[in-house]
Amino acid sequence: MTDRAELAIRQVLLQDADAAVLPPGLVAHVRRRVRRRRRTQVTGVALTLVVAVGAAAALAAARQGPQAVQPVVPPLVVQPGPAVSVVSVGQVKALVGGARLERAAVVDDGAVRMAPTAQQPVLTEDEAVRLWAAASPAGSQQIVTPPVVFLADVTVSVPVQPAGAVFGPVHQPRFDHRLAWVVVWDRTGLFYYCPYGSASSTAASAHTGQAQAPPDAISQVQMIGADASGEAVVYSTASAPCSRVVPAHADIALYDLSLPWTSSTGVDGSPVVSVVVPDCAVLGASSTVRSRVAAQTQVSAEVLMVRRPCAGTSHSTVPLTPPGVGRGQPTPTATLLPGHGPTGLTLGRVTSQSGGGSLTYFDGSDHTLFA
Amino acid sequence: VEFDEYVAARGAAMLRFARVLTGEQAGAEDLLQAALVDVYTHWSKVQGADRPDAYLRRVMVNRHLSWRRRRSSSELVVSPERIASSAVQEGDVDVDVAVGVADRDQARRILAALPPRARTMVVLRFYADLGDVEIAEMLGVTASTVRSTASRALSTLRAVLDAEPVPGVPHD
Repeated sequence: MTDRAELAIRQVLLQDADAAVLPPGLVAHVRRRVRRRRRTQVTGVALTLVVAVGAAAALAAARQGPQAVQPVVPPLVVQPGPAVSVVSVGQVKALVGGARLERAAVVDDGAVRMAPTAQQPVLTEDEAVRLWAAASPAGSQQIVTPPVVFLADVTVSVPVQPAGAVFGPVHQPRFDHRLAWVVVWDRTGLFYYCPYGSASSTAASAHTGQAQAPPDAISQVQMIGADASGEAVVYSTASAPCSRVVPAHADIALYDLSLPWTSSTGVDGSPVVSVVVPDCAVLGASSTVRSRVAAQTQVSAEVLMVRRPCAGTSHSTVPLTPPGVGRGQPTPTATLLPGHGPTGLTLGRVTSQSGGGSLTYFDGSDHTLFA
Repeated sequence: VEFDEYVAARGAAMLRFARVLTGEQAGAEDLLQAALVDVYTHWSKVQGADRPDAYLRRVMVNRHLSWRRRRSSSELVVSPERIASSAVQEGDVDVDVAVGVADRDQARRILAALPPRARTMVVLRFYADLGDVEIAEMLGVTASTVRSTASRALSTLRAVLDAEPVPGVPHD
């Protein structure tokens, strides 16, 4: 006999299943991944050979004495013509070579303008990608589609929203013909959990007013000052989560740091973690990752990407609060587990969840960062 | 059946299964895609099998459990400032409008709190309608473990529902 509890479970599972939306181009994605996997296997063998040859060469060079290493900067190839209005990540991809924009482009009728530039960045591409990818607290990851990364001269002509009160007064970053690392990505795969009764929203329906938006329609463009000032702005195109239209807007970008912590006991005897928070950061969340053999706790802080000193620190303690404490459920006792998670920039944005997460991005060719 | 034809015919159903397994859309897409990559590389064998659905489901279950073993967030600490800044306003949430919504809400909480292996057992039993023996074979456990896990999940939910009777719904 099916009772009320079983019925509820079956209904929830069916509701969840009904919310699933098959992404377009699934077979093509699968084929691409298989090709990439085969290429990686071949590259792995080739890399082993290259490393062996490289090591031999380095040994030979060391015997001959020190030599100045010149950075390899690919030549900028600028395509002629007026600025292209781009609405999809695929269109942006076609304009990028050697991590540089090769033709002027605009997003949303000029809300963001990007032009090719031959200037040299202080912040490296790798540092910029890692800052962008660190936009989720330690222990949590958001899966995104592979972003496109390039250097450009950028102007953001919409006002940047003020930071939340939790961050205190800040100097608003400005991007007016400024050299910046640009990261462009789309919202494919995003799913909004909508309140009961409202329509759910997925990538396909996210762009209101664009009935025929491309499947890889640009959702966000992040500009990170290439002068290593720490300033960054993220521009979001219009969307419609849960049938509620959210117009395009620009915000100050954030990144997450995993902080070192020590365990202690609070005044009421409950377990707490003590952390040292940099002045430029605000304490965020923490998570504990358990496996059969070990457990790791990570405590995160969020850094607003504005020009502000970050040398000072402050001490904070955070009580452990187990999740799932709901109506009618007894409050379980929190247990502080031993083990420290990795500290530093998180890898919060990933393109694949397998193996703990990795990030693939395009700057003229594909690169992958592993967690 | 060619791979493309199979995905066209069964892709949506398999994504639904991945969705209930993971509890989220993005994770479901990633899981299905990863499983299809595995299946695609052995398609000539899978094609000849009697039940490619069962094979793909098994690949998804194994991948899901191994991913979850690597990382699973089980505790959350939130600073008071963060709670204040991200608190949901009461007016933002719709009030329950139908009988059974509260039950489903509790069921959702209990499902979300289940360890991955237990959730997988519940999904295989109540969504995929597999028998205890079949589930046990798939997960490498005994049939009695499957029975007791499903029974524990149901008992927990029953206890919670009994503690909070929904107005207008008669129950013991």
